[in-house]
Amino acid sequence: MVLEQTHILTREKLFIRLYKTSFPGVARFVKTYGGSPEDAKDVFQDALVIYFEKHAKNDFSPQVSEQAYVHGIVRHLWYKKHHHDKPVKTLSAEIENTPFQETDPVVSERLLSFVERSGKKCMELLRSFYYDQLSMKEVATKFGFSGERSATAQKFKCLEKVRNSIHKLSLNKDDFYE
Amino acid sequence: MNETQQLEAYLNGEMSPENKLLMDVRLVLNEGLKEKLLWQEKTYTLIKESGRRQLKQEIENVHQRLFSEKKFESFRKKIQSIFK
Repeated sequence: MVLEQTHILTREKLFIRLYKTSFPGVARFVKTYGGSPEDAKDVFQDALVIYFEKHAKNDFSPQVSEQAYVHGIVRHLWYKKHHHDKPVKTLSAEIENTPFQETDPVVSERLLSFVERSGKKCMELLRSFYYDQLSMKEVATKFGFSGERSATAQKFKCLEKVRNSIHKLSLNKDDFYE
Repeated sequence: MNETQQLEAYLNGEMSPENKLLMDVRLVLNEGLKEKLLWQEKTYTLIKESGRRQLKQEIENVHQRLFSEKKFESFRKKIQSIFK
């Protein structure tokens, strides 16, 4: 539990730092295009999610390029959303080639809340590995397993459990999918 | 490797060509296995969505802190001045 909090705290620190270094520039950018503070917030938060997903594996040491990178994502998202024809020239090749995934939910709300409620502990473990991209060793420490081996075994048990439970649920409900 | 592990390796394209071929055949012959594969794929999507949702909540919490706590006042003013 302590470790879980440490983990979140690190993320919190990261986001505070990114807000401080990058949000003012993003706000100015959005303002230039006639956007509102709310628009700036939305596009910036989406960019942070993308940034995190792309870099979850690294330990987020502050870099000079971090700010430029977030700005690049913001511009990309903004132009995409507002249907500008020309891509921005300043985007680095890396950002250009990033397949931006939609951050809008692709699964039904009901399904999501079902698994989050019914398999809370398992979902926590699965998220740590598959989304937060912790190593199996870190997962083992975080959840108190004796080692990577037992953590891996538990991970697959959880995966199976969630998989079977959503399958079962789908058999009972026709209107499961939206 | 158990079945769930094998399905993961298959979905991630981490199988050797021989094992992949074997799995392809098994999937054609075994409807139950095919279903498991599809549901497992769905499970990964769910995990990702759940992780994303949690992350978004954490980011929102940071936003709320920055725009309410006293110690971030100068930051707040900076942003407000941009939208004046």
